[in-house]
Amino acid sequence: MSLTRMFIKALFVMGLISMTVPPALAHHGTALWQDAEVAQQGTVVQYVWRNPHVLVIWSVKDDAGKLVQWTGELASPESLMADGGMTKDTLKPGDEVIMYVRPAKSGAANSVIDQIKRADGAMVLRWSRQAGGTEEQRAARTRNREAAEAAASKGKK
Amino acid sequence: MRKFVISLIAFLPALLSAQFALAQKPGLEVPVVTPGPGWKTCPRCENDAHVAEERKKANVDTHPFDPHDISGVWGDNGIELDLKTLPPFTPYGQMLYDATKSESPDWNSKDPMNICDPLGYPRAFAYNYGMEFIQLPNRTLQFFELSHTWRTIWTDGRKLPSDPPILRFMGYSVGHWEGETFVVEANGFDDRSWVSEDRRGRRHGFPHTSEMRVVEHYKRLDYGRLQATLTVIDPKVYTKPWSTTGIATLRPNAELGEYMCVPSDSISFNNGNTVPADAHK
Repeated sequence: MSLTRMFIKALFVMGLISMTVPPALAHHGTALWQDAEVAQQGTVVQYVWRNPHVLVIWSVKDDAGKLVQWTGELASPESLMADGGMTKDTLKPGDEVIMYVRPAKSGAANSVIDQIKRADGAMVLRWSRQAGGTEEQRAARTRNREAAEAAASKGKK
Repeated sequence: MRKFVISLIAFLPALLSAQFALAQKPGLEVPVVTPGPGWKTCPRCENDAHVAEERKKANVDTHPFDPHDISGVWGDNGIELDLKTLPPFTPYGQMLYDATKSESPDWNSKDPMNICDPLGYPRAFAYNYGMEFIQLPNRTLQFFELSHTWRTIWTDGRKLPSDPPILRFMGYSVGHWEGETFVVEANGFDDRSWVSEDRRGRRHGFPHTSEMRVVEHYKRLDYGRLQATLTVIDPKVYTKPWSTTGIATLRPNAELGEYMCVPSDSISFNNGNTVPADAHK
């Protein structure tokens, strides 16, 4: 086997290995959520800073222009302090945000939140333990997010 | 050259996963949140980088210590029960385990924690947000952040009750010193709690009966580390004692907060985001 072919094969196997590492699980695990992440620009309706898990409810316009209310969960308030320095005042109703979420497999407007930004691009929460996945799956979500943002930014110019 | 490539291939997964971890996880750029001057953050409110930093500042590796003093706030990660040492169930134990299976493959719908039923012991230790030992002349108190509850370990020489008049979620506990090891024995447990959730698939809990006994050995290895061995003995459920050994780390700059499990909040959370997300309901 040539060195190049050997290297390509190793990369493929590495991909398999990284896909088989068990994900870091939150209390309920992450089996409720789709693997693919979506981005939604919307307006915060409610920020429930409580245990067992923080909830954010926001409204977003669907393809028909109708406002749809979405719910997304985060980790506990304590964990969010650790992961992003969040507090009870981080979000308030009316805030314009971009929510990056893994939607529910059921198809309902429910989700687990992977990242939060303000509408101007300022980061609110970069890393969400609740969103789960292996490090590689997290990295893949980040790459996809950045690629989508780059494409959107290019489209605006 | 061939050897070099083989070595590179062997180490690449570890290197890459370390790189991903470093690139992704929050670190010291996250501010430590406290209630204000003079107040400390809570154990769960710190990320790994915060913890490493505060332990370094406190010189935990070289700080002098008294091996008979186990007081302090100890790490947030609990000591999860060791699945490698999990003994086979008895037929009755298997039946109890099967009965804990959730209706949905996607979440642990039968977990008593969902409605804030008490975690009980040893689940409070295995799944904790930090705990604090406080040593008094006739007892040692073990406070748990998760559920904001405590356990009294009597050290005044009394024996465990042979036939407890009422079962307790946290059990009846007595402790004594054997050299530099604090030994705790406990019984009288309410059998409605789980020993632990089963993290393999998140569909079951490990059950116990009211005849379960728990034996623990705590040894302060140095100022910053507390070794704990916890053994679950319940012959009706497990064919052998089930032992777990782990190390809790001192949190020199943290104090317990108040993680209450509020039934109305938990039920509202489940109905608000978990149940509607379940594709199998």
